[in-house]
Amino acid sequence: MEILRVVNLKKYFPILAGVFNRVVGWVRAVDNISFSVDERTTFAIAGESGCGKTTLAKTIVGIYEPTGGSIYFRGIDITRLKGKKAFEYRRRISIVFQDPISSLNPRKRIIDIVTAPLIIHKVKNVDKAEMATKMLELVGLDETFLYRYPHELSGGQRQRVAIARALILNPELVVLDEPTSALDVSVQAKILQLLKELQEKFKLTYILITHDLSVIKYMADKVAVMYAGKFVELASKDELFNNPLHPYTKALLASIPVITSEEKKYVSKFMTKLPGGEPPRLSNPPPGCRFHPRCPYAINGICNKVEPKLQEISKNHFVACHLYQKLIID
Amino acid sequence: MTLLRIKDLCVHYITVDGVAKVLNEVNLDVNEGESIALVGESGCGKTTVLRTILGILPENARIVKGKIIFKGVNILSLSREEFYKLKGSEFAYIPQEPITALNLFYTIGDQFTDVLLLKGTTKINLLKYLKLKRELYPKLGPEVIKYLKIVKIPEPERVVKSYPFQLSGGMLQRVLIAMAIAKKPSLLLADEPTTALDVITQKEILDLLKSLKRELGISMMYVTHNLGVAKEVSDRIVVMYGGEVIEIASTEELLEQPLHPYTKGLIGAIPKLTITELKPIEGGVIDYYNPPPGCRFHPRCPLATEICKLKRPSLIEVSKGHLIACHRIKG
Amino acid sequence: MGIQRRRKLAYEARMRDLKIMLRKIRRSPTTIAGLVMVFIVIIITVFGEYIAPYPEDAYKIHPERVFRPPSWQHLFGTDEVGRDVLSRVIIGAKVSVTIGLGVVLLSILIGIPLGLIAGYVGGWLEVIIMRITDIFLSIPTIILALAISAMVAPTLENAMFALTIGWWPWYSRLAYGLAKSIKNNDYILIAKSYGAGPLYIVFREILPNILPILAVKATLDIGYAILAEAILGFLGFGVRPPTPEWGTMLSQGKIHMPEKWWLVTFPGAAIFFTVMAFNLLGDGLRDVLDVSEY
Repeated sequence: MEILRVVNLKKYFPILAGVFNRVVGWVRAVDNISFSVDERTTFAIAGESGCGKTTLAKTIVGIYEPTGGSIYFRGIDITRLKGKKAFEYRRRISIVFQDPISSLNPRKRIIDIVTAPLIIHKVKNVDKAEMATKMLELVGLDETFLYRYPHELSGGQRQRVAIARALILNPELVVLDEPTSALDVSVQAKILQLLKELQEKFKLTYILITHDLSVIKYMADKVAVMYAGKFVELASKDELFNNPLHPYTKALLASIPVITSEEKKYVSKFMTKLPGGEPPRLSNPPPGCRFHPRCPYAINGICNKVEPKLQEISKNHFVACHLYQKLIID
Repeated sequence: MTLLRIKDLCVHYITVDGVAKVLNEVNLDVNEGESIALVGESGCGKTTVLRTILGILPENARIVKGKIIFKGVNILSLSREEFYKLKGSEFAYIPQEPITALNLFYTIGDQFTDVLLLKGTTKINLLKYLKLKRELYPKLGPEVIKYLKIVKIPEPERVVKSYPFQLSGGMLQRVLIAMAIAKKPSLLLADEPTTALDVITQKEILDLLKSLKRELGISMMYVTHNLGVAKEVSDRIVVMYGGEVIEIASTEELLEQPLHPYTKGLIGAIPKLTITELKPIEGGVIDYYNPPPGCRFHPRCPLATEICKLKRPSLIEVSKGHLIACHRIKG
Repeated sequence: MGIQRRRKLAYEARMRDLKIMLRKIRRSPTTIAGLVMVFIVIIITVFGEYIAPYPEDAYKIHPERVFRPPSWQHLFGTDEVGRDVLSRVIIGAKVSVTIGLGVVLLSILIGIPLGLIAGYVGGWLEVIIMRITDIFLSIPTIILALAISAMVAPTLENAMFALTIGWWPWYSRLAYGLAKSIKNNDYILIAKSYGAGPLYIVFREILPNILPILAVKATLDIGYAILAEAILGFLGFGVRPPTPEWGTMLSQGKIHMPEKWWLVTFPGAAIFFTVMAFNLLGDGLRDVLDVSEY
């Protein structure tokens, strides 16, 4: 059953210049993104820094207002809601950020940090300390953490607090923006395991945003690959890993520094020549396909002029690339 | 031939909360022409080892014991003068964050020429420097371009005239690598230089380092927390935990046949592309103010027994080139 | 978990924080000095009438003992109308310190909320509030206070009011800068994602972050406000004689310099001591609270 449907979502930031702050351009951080997520699944968005994924995350949870498009949560367009109705929906979606240091107010004690959502939503008849203890227990922290300050905790512990806070209002959808990237390998493993357990236990739906494809392999059901504000490929996890189509996806897979020989064999299938160059600025993306300046397979005349659309190439496997569109036409 | 030998190195940090006994008798070697990766999670002491070699430890650090023998000389016993002279001509450093390693007010060309001009010099007065610079600048220009080309920077003439903030992270890192090898160092020390870069750029930089190693025969010590990265650039891997070296082996052997429980745990905890299983390591980070007695890993080790809590295991060679510090694994 | 256990944990946590703070204070002799000095000042301010040897000399004159130099009966000597200088200095503390504290308190109450809202909410509110702040900031505080004092009755409240008008914008600017710098931190964004309104975010998320810097600045400012008040008094504004006030005592005594030096030296020393006290304490607080600016 579908829980979230994003349709043609756009988020642009104006670039201002001059004495009178005139708008001279736009940063197209999220440029026409559409996807749907089924409940109790994990939808992963793979992308590197600067591709707009964090902006997408923030737009979904309401930190930013969309410039265009809609977000349907259980059939209701939450971007058109105002006032009290909009406020009600805020408790059903929550977010966990990447940096454990800046996610927690350094001047507040853990108990106050975790129960802040209760105060914001004016939840009555509930014992703050009781709730906080319960939530901390869920994430594997004992009650001695209640009255500590964030600076007394390690990165992994802080992320657990952030997760406890994200779950205190019983949300249905949790957005995870690079939840383990700032953590050590062994800590990351524990947090990922914890997230999976909590998903089972509380029937949660996750939107997981990360640049680490190995983490996606572990956690996700469906994957979208994001580049320069757009989705370039969208498929189920197995399909994406078995049969990646877009050159950027293949480049990502080929670049991962892997350890085991099975993995080495797996990634060597994908690409021998790397793209080179750097991801484009979102304020001035290349014309046509945004990846074309770096793409080893770019076709002059098409890729640098026409923007490819996300199209279904095989069952539930979408790609935005002229190489494949040609095939369809042919 | 051994280029660098670290012997029984102990480094402590003095803080408000007491004495953090971080490095606990660290022993490791770097041979000529080889590249070793110093691998471990944050807080394991790998950065401290690097900083001790480079002499850039913070003020509250104390080298309590140990020797660092470079080409036969214990660099820890040198005077400041002698040490700087040695450092300037023999070591080169590639830091983690390229943008903070360069001066934003000077062009790349300017800074690079300074490196070529001053390598090894510890004292120079302003007038002499300006005179030298004026004389040699035109001659050094082509040198700079040569090195920028070696690191495969496109349009090096344009880069030479650019300021650091005009270049991307990947480009800056290449510039820093170029500057490092231009010094013709005996030992290159790198502190996770690809952490701030995206995956594809990281692969390019790692490929570059690999090819430089092949072509120029550089000896390198590469600090990283990422075993995959270590595999790309190193011949041997040194694994650290809790301020101690717990396993050393050739890269291939370490990853195919890890022996130490921590190394095995570390490999098991890394998410892989080909299997969907993840095994975290139990327990939490070590408390350097009150480190566990005996083996520092024992509180988290599935194989720990009585002797592990009492006696610290020393690094023993259990098969050719494979050393491990563990009471329970004998090869 | 039982209420007992919870209370115990909370208590233990607060004790731990206190211990750490005391340890930091103990390590800094200047902070200890500041604390002791401020304590002395507060005691004198509050219990002035009971400490002063001749409390009635606040108003009564004794023509028979004018211009007595310091002696055992009058440690600080007597002034031009025979009043005991020590007593007047002690009672004068009340005026100066009260005004100093009052000015800072009022400036905080006015300036901080305005600055926080301007910084966080932005838009028109930001423009209006900060432009008004800038206007007041461009006029030297003392000059403004003088101008206002000249227009109103010379009471303690009016002196406080006159100084506050020029003082509040500094707090507005401080709060504004801070609000702007942390408003995009993740924890603020998370509150926003829950639908929290600006009032919650400003007062329950941003304000706690401003307290350390505020404490340091306020403490330092109390010293400067007392100095400013003394300047007003010296120039003949603010409270008028016969109310004992350090600034007026200085201005009345200066014509008798240098022969009757005690008329000027002791009130001057009192000002110095008090300003120094708050300065040392403020500096010390900065180290204790780990605040690197202001």
